[in-house]
Amino acid sequence: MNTISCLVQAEGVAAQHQSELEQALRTNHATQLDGAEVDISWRLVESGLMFTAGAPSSSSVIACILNGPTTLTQRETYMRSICDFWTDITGCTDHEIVVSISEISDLPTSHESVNS
Amino acid sequence: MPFYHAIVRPEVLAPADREALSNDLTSVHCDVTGAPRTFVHVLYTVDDANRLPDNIDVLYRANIRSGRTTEQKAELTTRLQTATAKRTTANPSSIAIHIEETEASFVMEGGSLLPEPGSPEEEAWKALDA
Repeated sequence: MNTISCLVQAEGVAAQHQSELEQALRTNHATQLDGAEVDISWRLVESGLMFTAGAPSSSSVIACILNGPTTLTQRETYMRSICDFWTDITGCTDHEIVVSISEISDLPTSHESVNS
Repeated sequence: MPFYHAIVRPEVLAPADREALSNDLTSVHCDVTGAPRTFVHVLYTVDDANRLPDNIDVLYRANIRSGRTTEQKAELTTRLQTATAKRTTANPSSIAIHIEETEASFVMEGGSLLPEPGSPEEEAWKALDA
């Protein structure tokens, strides 16, 4: 199962649109990855705990863990889509969104391990 | 990115000093790497549950772009420890820094993929703060 962890400011605009953003994340994921489902978690950061450029932050950090390997084009398209709907829904700028992808590989089955 | 996640014991850093420390950390990162300040994020988690090892007062999980030299990472570590010791009551030896590296093409920020360190695209990116 792929996962997406969203870190947003508790008092920010993204937190106010959490349901809408989560639905958009699911739709985007399914559209780009052949209907795949995704687990999504949220961390709402209280005021005074996150800073960007040394000042109170308004940023959202969306960390995606996907089955790899992915191509550069796939990653760019996937992350670009998130940036696009995130700005549309929240009204924030591109500079207030960080999207990252980490890849996981399917673990070998016990059968494969024995024969390798 | 970079993203510095600082896990701190509640007694070593006053809430009022978090912003100043984050500003210091940002300055250190930008001095060492040349990255624009607007890309440096610092998140604090206060260790109310006392989960840090006994000999650690501040633990940084520093997620930076891969491609930095060994010397740059060593300088980052030393200067981050010094900056943290000045703003907290933690002894430098109790400040741990774990650097995690992520390839630039796996991160989008400011509407673009991050540039590879040392690439021609990075020069334009560094000028974003200018």
